[in-house]
Amino acid sequence: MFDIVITVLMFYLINKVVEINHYKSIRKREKKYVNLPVFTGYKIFPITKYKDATLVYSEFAASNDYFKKFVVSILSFFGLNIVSYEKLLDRARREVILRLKEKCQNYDAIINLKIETVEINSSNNTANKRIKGLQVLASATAVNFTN
Amino acid sequence: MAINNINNSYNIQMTNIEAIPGYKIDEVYGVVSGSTVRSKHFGRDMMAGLKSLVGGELKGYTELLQESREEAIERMKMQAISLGANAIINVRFATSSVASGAAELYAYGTAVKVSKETY
Repeated sequence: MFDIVITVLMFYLINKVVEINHYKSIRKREKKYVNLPVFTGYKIFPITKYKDATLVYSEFAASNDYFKKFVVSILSFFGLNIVSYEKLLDRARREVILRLKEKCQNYDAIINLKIETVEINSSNNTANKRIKGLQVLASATAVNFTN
Repeated sequence: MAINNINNSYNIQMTNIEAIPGYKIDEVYGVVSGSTVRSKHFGRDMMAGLKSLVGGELKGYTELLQESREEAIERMKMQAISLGANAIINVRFATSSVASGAAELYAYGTAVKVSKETY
């Protein structure tokens, strides 16, 4: 029993370190790509302003550790804010947008960004499904400006 | 760059928006789509299960979906070529779970024939 608690806490600490390092990496790359804007629409500028349009897409799958999942099962009983998943999704969305930007370094802007979140479940039945993780998908168009 | 290779195979241009900037639409062929149903490799599933105890990126699933997306896009391009189109506009993606342990990735768009705009 004690071993299991120690193992779970160890996993929690490992995940904490991974999360902190990931956020550091995200902030560093966001500064690097600050001059490459991302828009969710495409009617912001007239279409004659764009050229060399290409479809771009990226994805990122991640999960929280067992301890956080256990805490979530208690919090969700009381209908409270689940901060650990908010952080996970925040990390995943920022990472997915950064991966898009890494693919489009030769372009001036990324337009019409669409983001989708899907669950990775252990089985299809709602009765015995266990959420293994979350995956965030993004697709957009990379363009150059004409002037 | 890898992304140019994907988009330039068969010379089909693709965009997420309602037009290809710099080109005018000559003909519209309708909706084309490509889909693939992939299931989780048992080993990958087990590793993801273990990784989900520790937390962090599930690289196996990221790669699985990346491959599925590329396959679905290739099928969509083949369908567009068979109609005589040279571009696909308004490309959208959808994912859904179809059976226990299998997920479908569906890519769809409008196939068109475009020619360079002469201003």
